[in-house]
Amino acid sequence: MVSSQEVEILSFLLGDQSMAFDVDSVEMVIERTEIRPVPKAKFFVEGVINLRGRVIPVVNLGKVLGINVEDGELKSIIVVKTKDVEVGFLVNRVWGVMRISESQVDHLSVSDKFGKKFKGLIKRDGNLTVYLNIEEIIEEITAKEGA
Amino acid sequence: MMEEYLGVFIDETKEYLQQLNDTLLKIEEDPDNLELVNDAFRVLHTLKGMAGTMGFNRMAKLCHIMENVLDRARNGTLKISSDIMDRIFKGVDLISKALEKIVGEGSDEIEEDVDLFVDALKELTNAPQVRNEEKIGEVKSKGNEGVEETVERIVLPDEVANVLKRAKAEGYKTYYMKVILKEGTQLKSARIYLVLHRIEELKGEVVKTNPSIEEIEEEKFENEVEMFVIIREDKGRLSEVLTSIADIDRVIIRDVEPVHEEKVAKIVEKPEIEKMKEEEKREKKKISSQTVRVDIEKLDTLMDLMGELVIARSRIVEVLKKYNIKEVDEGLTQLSRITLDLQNVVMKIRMVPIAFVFNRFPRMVRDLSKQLNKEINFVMKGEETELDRTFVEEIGEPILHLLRNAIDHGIESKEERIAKGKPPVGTVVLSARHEGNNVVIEVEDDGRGIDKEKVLRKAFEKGLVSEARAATLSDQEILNFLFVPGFSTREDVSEVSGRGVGLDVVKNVVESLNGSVSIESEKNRGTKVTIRLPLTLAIIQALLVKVSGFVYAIPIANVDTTLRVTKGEIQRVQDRKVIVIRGEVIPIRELWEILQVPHEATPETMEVVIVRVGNRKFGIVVDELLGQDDIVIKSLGKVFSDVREFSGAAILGDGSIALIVNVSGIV
Amino acid sequence: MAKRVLIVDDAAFMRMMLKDIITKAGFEVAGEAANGKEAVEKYKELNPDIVTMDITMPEMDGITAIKEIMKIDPNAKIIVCSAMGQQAMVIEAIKAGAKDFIVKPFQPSRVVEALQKVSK
Repeated sequence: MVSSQEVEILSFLLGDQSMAFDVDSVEMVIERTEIRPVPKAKFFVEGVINLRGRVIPVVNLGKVLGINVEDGELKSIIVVKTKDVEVGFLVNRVWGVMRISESQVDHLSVSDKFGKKFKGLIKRDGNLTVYLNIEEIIEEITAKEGA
Repeated sequence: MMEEYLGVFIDETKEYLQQLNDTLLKIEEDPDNLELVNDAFRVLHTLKGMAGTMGFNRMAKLCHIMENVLDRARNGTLKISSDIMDRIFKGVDLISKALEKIVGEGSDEIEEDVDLFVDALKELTNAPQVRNEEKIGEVKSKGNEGVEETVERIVLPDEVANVLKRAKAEGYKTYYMKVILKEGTQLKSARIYLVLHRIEELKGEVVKTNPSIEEIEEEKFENEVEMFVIIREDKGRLSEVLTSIADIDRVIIRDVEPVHEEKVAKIVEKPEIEKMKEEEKREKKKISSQTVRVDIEKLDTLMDLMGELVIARSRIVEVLKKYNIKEVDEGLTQLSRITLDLQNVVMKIRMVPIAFVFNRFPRMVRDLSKQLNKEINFVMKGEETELDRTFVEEIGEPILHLLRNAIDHGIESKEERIAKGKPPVGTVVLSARHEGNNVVIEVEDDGRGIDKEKVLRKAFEKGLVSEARAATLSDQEILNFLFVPGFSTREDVSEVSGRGVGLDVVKNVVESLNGSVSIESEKNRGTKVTIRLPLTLAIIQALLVKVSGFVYAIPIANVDTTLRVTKGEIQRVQDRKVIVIRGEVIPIRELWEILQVPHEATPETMEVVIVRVGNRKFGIVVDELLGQDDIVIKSLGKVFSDVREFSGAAILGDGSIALIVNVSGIV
Repeated sequence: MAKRVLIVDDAAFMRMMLKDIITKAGFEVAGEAANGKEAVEKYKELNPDIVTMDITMPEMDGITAIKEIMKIDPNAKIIVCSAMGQQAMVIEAIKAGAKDFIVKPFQPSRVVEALQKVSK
């Protein structure tokens, strides 16, 4: 049982930064497979993959956040599923699920760079993890341009 | 707990609202037809019960007050006027809104003031009236209610009357019984089952129940059940046994004397034809009751699995090609045939009559013509035409838009029509039919037609066409400007059609469904818009092509032909590449250029796929033609919502992904 | 003389609640059983006037227990205790010989009504 002040997050490496988001919407983590590029898609969309017979878009999370990451480093895909969207995010590697308490999240150090996509910083064992707002990220990547 | 039933509740409420709208429209034409009023009353009564059960009290309240109005109408203490009809329609709209809210947010809390509406209607029903004991219209009793009361005549369905008569002859007693449960009784079905079980234990037989046994099992009733019972025991004993069951509020038992059908006919006094119609309806009802309700999700899963099967089959075929094993061929042919049959069956299961879409239009046309003060003869044809259920949700809005256009812009005012020597009442026809592998939907009016010169002038003003070219355009080409985003011929914005919602929206929706739309119009004769949709969305035949090493699929429905063209055959007309085939000038473009993907220099000879969009032809240059295949369309999802070039993706036999080219999105 | 009731339910809490309702209504609790098998044994031993029988229980379910008891005493007065949504089970129980049923969560007035009606 997770108490009301505790959340479970999935932490991963993107570029040289540890990041994490809530684990609730994570469907699975897979090894990077062949990505079929989709012309004319938004700049951060790498293409689509065949995930057990389903066609899932793959998004370069680094590009969404404006972080430069060597493409060859991106070896894992985190598949996230919400009510009406299923999407894979490319990351370097996935650390795993951890449980943090609300008190470990520093909400004050909100970065302008990531805007609403950012929930706070998690301080844990002397390391800093960027706590992302996955709902907001999905909101942004599915928004119609100019709408 | 209740959430489990919410889906069923929503579906059924939608059906009932549709039924209610239909019935109300009929009442409007024939306000003295008490049977129709009765029908509407019953629907509202049922809706009230359903809403109450689910705890949607506003909705229940709305149903309740309208039920009261109709109740007064059917017992003759209230005359149905046009004003009352308008209010009732308003009420139906409020219920629909509440339902939408329930669908969206799980609450029936609507913005409109329900109480205000209810109070207004209450005034109508507050006039003094004599209220009889509520009855469903079957029991015509004399005197007061009570267990010892004798009912002289009860109008019975034929089959019941016969059974009761025979039982009577054998010395049984025949009773009409009404069992009333306490307010808030739970497991009502089981409760009624217990009643039926007790009657059985007393060696009695229940001939018919109202609601039906099925409805009782599904708990589709409020707190009362009526039934006819054949039994040797007397009323007192029967009453004693039944009231010893918990949660039974009371039981009303009356003797019944079966009446013959001839007498019933005399009482109702209906013209022969109408009676026949009704029998037909009853017949239809019987047939339709042999259906099964299937959860849409299950159907979608079935379709997905079907798709997987098609892919798996393609994969096997592909592998076996390499080995050429004779023995497998026969089995494989059989597998292919079965897959195809299965595919057809699954497709058919997904088909629903277009009536599901059309149903709401008569009401909307009525409101609109009233609002615009135009008299419209609205004709619907081919409502039984079936189409894939995916379309049902999508195609309603475009049709609605076309109907609005026809009524608002197409049909002239009465005076104008008379001046033109046309019939004063305008006609709008909405039709549907199957044509080959397509469903064709047409909206046709006999109004003023589209002023082509005005369209052309506007196209010129907007820079869509040069003066020189304008002179060479065909009527059809001129009308096609109407589909350009933001193009509208009316300067004034009417409340009805609104601003900015033009035919381009219709076109977008239709094309996203792999369909096409075209328009014909003649001045003063009218306008006809034709929508063509494929029979199904999920599996299509496609031509697979390769560009820059990746596979793309072009729906066969769009493909006219394929050719090989040398560089020298390509000509340039006004900066556009064209080829000339049998005197026809066809513009062409390289797919890699359209999609802006890296590509080596254009080769000497190239493969061209000639596609057809509406009535225009267009050539797409590709690297390689791979052949034709059945593909299962998978949506690309919201992440690609602004990519117009593709309508979806498909997984091929080898597990790779092909992008499906949205032909109308690239030309 | 007060009618004697055998309470059958695997949940001690439910037995407690029923016991409370039943005694307050002037009935006497003859005994309790925590499953169908025990119920049948207790029925033989105590010969109660009325049985309240839960449906879902370990060892032997309520419906089987009803059948067993009806074999011993065709005039047994058994009231089934069911949860909402157990409509089909209730019908099964009635077929097996149950005289009436009450629905959880229990409303004391309805429980008492069922008991009074069945004991007539």
